[in-house]
Amino acid sequence: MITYITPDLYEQHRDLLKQSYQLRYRVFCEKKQWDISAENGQEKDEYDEKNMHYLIYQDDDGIVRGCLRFIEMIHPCMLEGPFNFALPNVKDFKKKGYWESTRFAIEPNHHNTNIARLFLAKLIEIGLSNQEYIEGFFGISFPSVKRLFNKYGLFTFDINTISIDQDTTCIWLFPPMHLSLEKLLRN
Amino acid sequence: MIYLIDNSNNDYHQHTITEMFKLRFKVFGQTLKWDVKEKNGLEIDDYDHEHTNYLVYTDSLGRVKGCLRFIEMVHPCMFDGPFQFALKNLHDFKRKDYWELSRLAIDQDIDENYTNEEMQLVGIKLLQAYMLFGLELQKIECTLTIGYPQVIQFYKEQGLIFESLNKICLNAQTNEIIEVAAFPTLNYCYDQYALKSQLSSKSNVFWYMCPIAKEFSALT
Repeated sequence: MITYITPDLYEQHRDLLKQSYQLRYRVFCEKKQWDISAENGQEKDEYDEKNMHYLIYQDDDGIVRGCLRFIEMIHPCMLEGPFNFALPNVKDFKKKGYWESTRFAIEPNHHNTNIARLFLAKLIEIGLSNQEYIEGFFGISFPSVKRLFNKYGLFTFDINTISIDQDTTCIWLFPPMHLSLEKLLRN
Repeated sequence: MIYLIDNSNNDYHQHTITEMFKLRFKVFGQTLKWDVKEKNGLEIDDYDHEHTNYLVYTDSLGRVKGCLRFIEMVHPCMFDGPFQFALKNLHDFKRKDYWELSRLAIDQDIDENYTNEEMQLVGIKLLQAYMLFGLELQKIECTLTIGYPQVIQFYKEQGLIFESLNKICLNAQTNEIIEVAAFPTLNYCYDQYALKSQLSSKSNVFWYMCPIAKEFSALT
């Protein structure tokens, strides 16, 4: 099950959010060994729970196995913070309708390989439903991740390619498109 | 001035439409030497039909100096016909809100009333008008187009966000390559083009003859 948590629902979903920070710790700190702040087995930064939206996936036992977060770029976001070199004209996107999607984490070796596809479909669905005004989401990832998302059916537009710690990283935009949603749900 | 011409108002624009077809023959037939259909000096093909829309740029003397055409891809379009080899997954794009943009033509013959400075902005203004159409009049999720890579690169540098879908070599000897590219309709892109064209007021971007009121009205 995927739960969509908007800023007004943080307290209602406190346990889910805590589990998602723990998952992020397992994925980003333990497995990937990223140099990011963590405390008490939770990875949480200054962007969390400040206008941030979350998608959280729970398995049949209610355990959080996947999460991602996204925020409208009119608010402080990573593309103007730690990734401010990734999008040189970030100020042009500091307007309504442009969202940044980050901290996409899936439990390592989890048997449900559909989580990423479901998350992407849910993002597109939120954009198409006009629940929020969304012209496009920015994604930041390794090219292999973007290619995988493209294979799932997500239509992306390349914005920039940069190097982070000698790893190629790409910045891409995906508008809410019916074409993407249909393919993500069909595949 | 840019006019939006569609099936509902083309009666009022017969002269402009004829001049547009003349310009297309001049650009595509005579200058680029494409193998296009021509009759009486006009370039008209199977995709100039009842579902085709045009944006036509005229200079201060009312002379047609630029144009482009666009068709929602649920209708017959060039990707179904002469460019059917260009896109393997064409059926994905044959849907509502997905449009084909083609026949972007700009008159290169400058004079004292149509300066080089004005000419440089014709394509920008036409695409700005197209994006405004896609943002405010008719929902356009995605536009597909075919062009020379350097032309697509030019419009990308001006602020359009393109995704290349395919590149095809038409002629190995002359190294003639065409690129199939897609772009979304975004306010960001519109704003970038508005900066370049210095046309910040949406009401001045194009004019649309409303066939019921029988009068021209600005977009807003």
